[in-house]
Amino acid sequence: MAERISRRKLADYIVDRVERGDGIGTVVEELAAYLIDTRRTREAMLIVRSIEDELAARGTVVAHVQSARPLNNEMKEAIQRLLNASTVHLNEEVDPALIGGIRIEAPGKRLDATVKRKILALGQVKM
Amino acid sequence: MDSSILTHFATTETANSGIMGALGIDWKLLVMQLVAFLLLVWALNKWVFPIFFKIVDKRQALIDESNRAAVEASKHAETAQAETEKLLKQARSEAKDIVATAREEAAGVVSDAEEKSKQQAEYIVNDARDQLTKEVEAAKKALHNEMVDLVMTATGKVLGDTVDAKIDTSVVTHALKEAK
Repeated sequence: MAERISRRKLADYIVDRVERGDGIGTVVEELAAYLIDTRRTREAMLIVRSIEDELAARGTVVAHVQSARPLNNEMKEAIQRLLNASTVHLNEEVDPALIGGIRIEAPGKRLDATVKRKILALGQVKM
Repeated sequence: MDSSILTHFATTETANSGIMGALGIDWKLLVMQLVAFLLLVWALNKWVFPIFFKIVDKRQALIDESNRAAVEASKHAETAQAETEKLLKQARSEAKDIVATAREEAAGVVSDAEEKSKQQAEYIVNDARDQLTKEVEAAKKALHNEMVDLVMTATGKVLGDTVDAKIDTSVVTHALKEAK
């Protein structure tokens, strides 16, 4: 079994590899093999978050954006300006249940301006 | 022999003439009779009377003892009667006290029971009132929450039908501007 490495070091190593120009597919396969070997597959999402954090620290932000309708270019640019990073990757997801508005999740930032959240906020007046 | 005695007395009688003779008393015979009598008295006094006296004294002592015992018994009876009366009087007095105390205690018990019943009734009424108030409050809350749910559902449906692409774009743009 391979040596156990902390999530932070692992994320740092993977970002280094990607920035060096190693193929993402190869890096991801190695990471998956390592997690299976060390029986840490349950930490996969946490490691992805660590990688995103590390990327954000180096100026590349990966943001998850949810909206009721597909975003137009104007909105995407506004989001990139909002995140204030040299490189921004948007993972877009359309969810009609949100009714309207937008939800952005990025390392160290979170914005929920959906109509669904506002309606749910009404529920806070419940006794 | 007899004739000689009779003769002798006859002769004596004639010889002893005087007052005794006039009275027909022969002093010798009298002396002899006296002696015999005295002997009889002495003998009785010596052997018979003591026995009788002893018996009589004994009986007298018994009678005296019985009298004393009777008097003593009478005194005892009187004392006992007095004691009995005293005891009866005391017992009656105590019985009166006991009855009075029992009545007081019974009255106290009844009073306590009434007081407890009142308190219990008040407690039950207050408890029921509290329970009712809680239930009313819970019903109000449930109604309020149901209303909120209904409002949320209705708002969601209305907005879901109302919000079009234009409005959505406006909402998103506005949110991004505010976030800056």
